[in-house]
Amino acid sequence: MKLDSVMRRALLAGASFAVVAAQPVLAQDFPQGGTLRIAISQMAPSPDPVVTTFGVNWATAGVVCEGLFALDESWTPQPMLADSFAYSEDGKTLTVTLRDGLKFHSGAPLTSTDVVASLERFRESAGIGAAFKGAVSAIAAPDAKTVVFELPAPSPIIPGLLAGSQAVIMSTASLEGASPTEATRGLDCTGPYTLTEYQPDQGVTMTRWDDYASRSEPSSSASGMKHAYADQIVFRLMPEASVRRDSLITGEIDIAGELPSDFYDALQNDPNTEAVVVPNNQSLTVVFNTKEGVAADVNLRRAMYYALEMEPIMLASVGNPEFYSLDPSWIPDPNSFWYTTAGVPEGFGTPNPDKVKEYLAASNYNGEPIRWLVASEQYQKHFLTAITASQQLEEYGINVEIVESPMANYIQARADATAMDAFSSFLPTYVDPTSIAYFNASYPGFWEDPDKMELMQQIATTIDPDARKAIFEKLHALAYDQFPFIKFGTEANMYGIRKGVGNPARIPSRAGDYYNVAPPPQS
Amino acid sequence: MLPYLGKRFLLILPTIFVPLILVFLLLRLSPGDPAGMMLGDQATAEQIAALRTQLGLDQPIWVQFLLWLKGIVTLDLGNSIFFREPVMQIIPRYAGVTILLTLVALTLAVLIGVSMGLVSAMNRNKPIDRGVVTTAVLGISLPEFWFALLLIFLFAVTLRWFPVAGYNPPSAGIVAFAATIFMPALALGVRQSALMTRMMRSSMLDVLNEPYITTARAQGLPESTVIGRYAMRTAAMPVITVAGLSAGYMLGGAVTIEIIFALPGLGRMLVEAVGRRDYPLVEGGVLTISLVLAVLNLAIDLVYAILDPRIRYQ
Repeated sequence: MKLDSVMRRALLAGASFAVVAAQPVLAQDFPQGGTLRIAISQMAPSPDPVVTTFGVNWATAGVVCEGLFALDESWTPQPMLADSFAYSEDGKTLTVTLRDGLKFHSGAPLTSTDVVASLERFRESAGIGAAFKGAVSAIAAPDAKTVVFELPAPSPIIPGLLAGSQAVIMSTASLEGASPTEATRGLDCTGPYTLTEYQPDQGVTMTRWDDYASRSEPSSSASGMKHAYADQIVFRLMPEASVRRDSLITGEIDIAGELPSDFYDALQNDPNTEAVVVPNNQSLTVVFNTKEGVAADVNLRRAMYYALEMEPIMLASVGNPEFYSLDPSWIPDPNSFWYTTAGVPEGFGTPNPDKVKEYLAASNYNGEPIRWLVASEQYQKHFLTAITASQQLEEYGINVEIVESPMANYIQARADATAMDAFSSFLPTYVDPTSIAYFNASYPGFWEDPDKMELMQQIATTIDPDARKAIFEKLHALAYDQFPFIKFGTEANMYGIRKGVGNPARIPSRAGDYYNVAPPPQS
Repeated sequence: MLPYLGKRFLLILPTIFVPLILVFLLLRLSPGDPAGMMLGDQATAEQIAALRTQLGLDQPIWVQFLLWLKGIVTLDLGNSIFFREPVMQIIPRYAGVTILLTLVALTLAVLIGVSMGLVSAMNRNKPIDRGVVTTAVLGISLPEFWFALLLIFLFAVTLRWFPVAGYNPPSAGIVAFAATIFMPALALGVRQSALMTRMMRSSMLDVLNEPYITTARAQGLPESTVIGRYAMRTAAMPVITVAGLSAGYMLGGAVTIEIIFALPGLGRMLVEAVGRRDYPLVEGGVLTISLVLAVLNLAIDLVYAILDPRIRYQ
């Protein structure tokens, strides 16, 4: 088998094995027209997705911009602005050819120069950008339609990294004065909507762009055809969840994002609204400081895992058993090609007192407090999981000191290996295991086990998808042996819609694809 | 009067500088920094450290203080770290909303407070007086956020008279503006109106017992003239003090209301700026609030002199 075809197979790994990939998602089509009004809970000072790794701030760019690749429903990258792509024989060069006739909202044609400028900026940014920088040594534009990526080693992960929300392509002109940490003025992109107005702390208005050149393949999450049903998409900032709910009930908005599960009954009982529960949204977790301090003791971490009963922890945090599952996989969405439960000890979620005693005896733990960081802004996900877990751990003499602080303090403290032993966090589905933040040795938690580092090196450079999956299963099993992080369960996401909203997202990979959502007829 | 004004303006300087210096120190000495908040929760320690250097946050605090002091003296408040815009341009956008909200809330509070206090005083110990006093006690005791949610439930969700949240500036039309400002202003003003009711009632009762009111009545003046021309003028003095304090309270304390009703005001901006550790914007916001409060206090003192001829400033 030629390397090129293996690479292509690697790229389309999920599509090859997951039956849901690239399936048409629409049971019916919807007419164009109307305004889709969406209440959001947070809003960044700028719509530019490159300057922050807070995913909640990428929503505008997700509608207005596009990258060379986009993820489908199985979290597999599919070409978007790319027309075709090919790897060299030695696997160290990836050549992407752009689609014909693409242009930016400003009217300027999209050329490879724009792609290089955008991705050079992206590779200097934090998060996935840093992973991209490590995997690509140079980006060149030999002609207007061709982009060439030079790789230090054969790597199948580049299209996946380029399918992320931060790897969007903007016009070179719009990047003037911007940097990886300094935002652009507006968004000159290629997506189905133009950014008409962005008022920080108020809202966003996006208007359908009639010159949009859609792909012809069936829609599948962010990939394929984009229908652009609404004439306008409006985000309205409403920080208070109850206000988003009430605005939905009164018909002032069509979609209320991020609602607590407590509102489920209110929305279901109203004849004009529906509570949409998106299962398998993200894992609720605790990450340990494996570098130094009391939690660096692997036997203590093992004892903690076996001491925990996950059901009460998830119930305390989520509040309704219908909104979570006790799934141990570090890939929360089973639609993903990478989903696995390899290495999970039997009886996930059930305490095993014998094992706790065994591992505590083998550890050096002497009752020291485990400093567990939680961000006050994440009361339910952070604090409630931590407090319930700490009560369970106390029964075995494992003492937890919960350190609650504002998000800014939390982010700073967890990056300091001397300042914490554990921190609450959550983890969504990632396009590729190499992108999972927890596996990054420089991410807080600092998991630098030699076996893990070796497996990460292997998975980053192995081409064959089956072989990569097998390596990830070993990584998964290693995580369930060393417990650098513990997963409590998988949380669903709930949001509300007005009756009549067409094609609302009901799976996690469709989060933010509002261009494929139709406003209710009356709006 | 002019020397007095000059003296008061000079006194404003330390009034503003002390909180500013405190805010500068508190922000820099508290954990967390803008770099971490800018890059987000997936950034590594190295990336955060690099941005700290780029933003000059790794400089010694005294260097940062001198640079900040220079900016204050030259009236250059710098650029917001997140908005990348001059603070002097950002603040007015948000302050305008808060000032309008405060003005409308204050107007409602004065209208409700003065009229209820007057009615109560004029009907002392009658059922209507007891009703007003009870309502005022309730009003003072109500948490603003709870009252705000109650208003939303009643006027927006049940009666559908007003939108649940959002903001239309006056340029969108007076009706559109009123629709979005009425509930927040009422929620913000109700507590202050309860205070003013009590103050107006007690002040009015005092004045009504004064000999000059008895004289006025003995001279056969109509009751409306006695109350409106003589009693009200004197009774209003403590209410003006309360109104001034209320305005200050509302300017600085509109945060909850702005968050609940999604108003893009100064209070909400400040809270978010503190959360993001956007130092220049926080300092600019505190400067604005300090300045407005200082000027407001001065204005109230001057109004005293206009209303009460016995007061003369030197």
